[in-house]
Amino acid sequence: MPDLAAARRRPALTLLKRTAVLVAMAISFFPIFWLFSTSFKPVDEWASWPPVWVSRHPTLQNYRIVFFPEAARTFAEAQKGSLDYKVSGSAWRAFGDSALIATASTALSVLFGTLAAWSIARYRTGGASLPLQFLSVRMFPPIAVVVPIVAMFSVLRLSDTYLGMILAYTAFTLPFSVWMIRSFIEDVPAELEGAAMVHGLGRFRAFLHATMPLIWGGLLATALFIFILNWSEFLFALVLTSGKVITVTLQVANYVSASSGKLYGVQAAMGAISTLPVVLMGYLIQRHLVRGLTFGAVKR
Amino acid sequence: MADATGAGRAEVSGAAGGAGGRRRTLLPRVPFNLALVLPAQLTVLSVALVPTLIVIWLALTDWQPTSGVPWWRAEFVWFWNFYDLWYDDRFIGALLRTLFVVTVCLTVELILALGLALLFLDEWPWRKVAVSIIILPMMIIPVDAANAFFMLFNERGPVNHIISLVLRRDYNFSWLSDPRWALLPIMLAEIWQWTPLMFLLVLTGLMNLPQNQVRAAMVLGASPARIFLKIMLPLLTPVILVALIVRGVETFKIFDPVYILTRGGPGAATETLSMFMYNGAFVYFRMGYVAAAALLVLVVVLTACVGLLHRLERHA
Amino acid sequence: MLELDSITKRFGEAAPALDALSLRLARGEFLSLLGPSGCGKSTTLAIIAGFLDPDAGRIRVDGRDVGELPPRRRGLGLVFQDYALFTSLSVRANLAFGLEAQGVPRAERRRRLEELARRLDLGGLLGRSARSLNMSEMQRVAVGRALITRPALLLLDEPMSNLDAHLRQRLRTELKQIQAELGQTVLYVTHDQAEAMSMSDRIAVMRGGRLQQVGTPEEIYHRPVNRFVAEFIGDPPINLVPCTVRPGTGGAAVSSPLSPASSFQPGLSPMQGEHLLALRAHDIRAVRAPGGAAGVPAKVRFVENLGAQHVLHVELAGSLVRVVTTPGLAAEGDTLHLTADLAQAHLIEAATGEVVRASGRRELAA
Repeated sequence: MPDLAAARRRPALTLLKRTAVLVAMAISFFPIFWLFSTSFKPVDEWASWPPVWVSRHPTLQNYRIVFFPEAARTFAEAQKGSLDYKVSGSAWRAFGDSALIATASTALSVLFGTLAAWSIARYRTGGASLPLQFLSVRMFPPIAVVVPIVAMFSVLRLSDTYLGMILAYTAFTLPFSVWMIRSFIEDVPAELEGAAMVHGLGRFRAFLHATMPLIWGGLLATALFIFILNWSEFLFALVLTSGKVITVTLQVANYVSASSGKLYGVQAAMGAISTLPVVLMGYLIQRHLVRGLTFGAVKR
Repeated sequence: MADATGAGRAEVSGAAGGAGGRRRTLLPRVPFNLALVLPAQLTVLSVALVPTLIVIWLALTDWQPTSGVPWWRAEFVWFWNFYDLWYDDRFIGALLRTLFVVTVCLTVELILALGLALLFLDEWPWRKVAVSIIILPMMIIPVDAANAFFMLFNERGPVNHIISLVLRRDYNFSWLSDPRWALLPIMLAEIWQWTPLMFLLVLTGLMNLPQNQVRAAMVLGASPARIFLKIMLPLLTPVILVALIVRGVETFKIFDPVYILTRGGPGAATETLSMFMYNGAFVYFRMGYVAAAALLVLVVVLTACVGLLHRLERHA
Repeated sequence: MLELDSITKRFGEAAPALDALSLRLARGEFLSLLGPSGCGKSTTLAIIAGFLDPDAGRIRVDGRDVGELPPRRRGLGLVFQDYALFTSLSVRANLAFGLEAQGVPRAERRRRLEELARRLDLGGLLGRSARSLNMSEMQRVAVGRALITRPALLLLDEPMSNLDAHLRQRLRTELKQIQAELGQTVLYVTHDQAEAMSMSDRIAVMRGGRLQQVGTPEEIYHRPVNRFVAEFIGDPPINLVPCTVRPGTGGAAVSSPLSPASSFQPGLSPMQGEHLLALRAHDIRAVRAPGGAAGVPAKVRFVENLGAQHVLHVELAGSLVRVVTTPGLAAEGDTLHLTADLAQAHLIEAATGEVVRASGRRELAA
């Protein structure tokens, strides 16, 4: 409780507490530090012993390999004989595909979700079971539904397509979108829409004019939240694509060599770059993270 | 729910139920509302429900895509898949292993989260910064976090380096290749990534505790331990339950760290349910069999969730 | 047994919440801290309880300086405004909490619980959850929970503000009875002057972090030291009318709209500046017909019907004066003739708000 005067009375305890916090911060930060540090290491420092904590010869080579296929090819030739690997194009395509799929799917999810959430919040559509239906989607282990989705997609010719991925991502983020937006809508009293309707506005326009302006922040937060989920998704991307479409999460796995296994430096570079956007977004919506991850059950 | 009266008259009714707060019905229900949920429902139905129905179908067949037979013409084996699963050591192993991982991870995450949250009850200058750093792990792409842990636990990685410094000799244990220990890096990756979420949840719960109850307990002479156990924890129960349910379900589905770190190996030593199903479907191509496993898992998870949600309703 | 010695507390750059507050409380005494919102009474309570540290000053309980002690070692009992019952526990567990926390043996706990349940009529509630109680039940449990540990000092923070007027009356008497029976020392914080007046042995009136006056209800009511106290105490609020003080031989003459015929006040030295005459609504006589008796005419603008009496708001020299009368004396629009009982009036210096001549001490001669 912030107004406790205890801090003044027991300095030793306070010191202990602050130290524990510092330790927690260090543990949180360490793997991320290692990732970023490794991304600047030259090949010989990737798996040397004793391990290199901070590179003595930092280089941008790994980043060049990620972004410039020519650099990758040069690298491959230079290492010929001891290293060989496949790099399917540069990472630009992965970033592009991920951006496209994540954005489109987020837009659909928020759009559909808002409509459904409004209907559920104000009109109790579908009773108690509909919202739970959406929720139950989240309880399936994705791997369980992935097999039939593969089957379905192959019939509908959606395998390894942008549309297929977008649909799949939309369906599986709808629970978040419906529940989160519903909780934002419920924060706004229904009387506002009622008043607008008394003034002659139709139901939907009443919603647009009375409630929407107040939930913009929440909608944005939901959108960012879902974007983060989409961008970070791995399993569906792994199973539903086979080369034509590729996401940033898959691209990392491409940096392997038949002879020397994972190319740490390049994977670290790719990982660092691809994770940066979602970290920034995460901080933007920090306040709403709790609400999102508990489907609106817990609010600050 | 026929509390409909004349259209155009705004009606306010209080209804119970569900997580979150006062309920108000604005107008009697009308097909318009159903139209609104349609897009969402259709998408979910087609990409989630239809596949589930297909799973049920597939579970009763022995579809192997490599045989060239399309799935709707696969050979029917009725309930033999389930029988085989029951006696399949690998499946049972995966199931038990997954339950083990869930239990360990949830317990550790909760305890760490509680301990950490208690450190953040008062104000100090760099508190915000501390929170930001501590929640960093949960915002990293899980695949990249898993890769980071792969590098950390490499035979020549920093973890072994630190141990070497402590033991004063070269320690190059191959964590990820040892069937007894490979599960540890996986669990550590999971715990590292998701404790911050539990921490945020618990902290939110703690900050929303009625302060006066705690103060009252203080004046009555209670020690901090007694206050925590008898007053704060019971008040935190709803939040903790939500956290456990949400994280429990997600941990049960664990896939990314397993795939990246070990692929379920060595052998099947770290094969969790998701990994088992992935291997079964995309390595051994026995999709009918995997569908049966998937169905079982679906039923178990849904039952557990319904049970836990009921428990939560009672507390809220 | 409680001694506050020059307590000062600041929040930020603004004026201090508490400014060198000094107060003494004797054992067994019922003292009310009375004042409007923001006067610092809740801050004082928080400091006594130990939730806040003062910036300066000492707190002594039974001679012991408790400033360094955490709340749980100060031997206090506290009843919060919102009662703060432990919602996750039963009523019995709530009551027994303090005893368990302090390690009181089970037999003794049971004994005290039964005794308390009897005294506060809580028997039927013991098994219920603390969440299921209504307001007045919660209040009784809250008081019981604080009393059961036999604290040296019981602190109450506006415990009745959540209750309706009827309940308040009843609980006032109950609380006072228990306090008297147990000889419990009580510090009672409230903004309700009627409450303070009816229950306290002494009242400490606060405003803006400073004590205005400390005294028995009788002293506070009849001999306020300044305008604030005079206005704050008493229902209906005291009337303040401007008056003039003119020098005369051996004293000064005071005249006001209520008493246009100057009344000579011996020994009153002529004073500069404006002055106000303060007179309670009960001390003004009002009659219908002018009939022989002199009196200031005033028109009735508004009638407050309180059942057993009426409070008439009459217009006098441009402002409204309140007069208490028997029911049915007059209605809106009637003209009444007012006679002020100057022996009960106070003379207040407008600039400082100080009472320069109070009734009872140096009476204003009628």
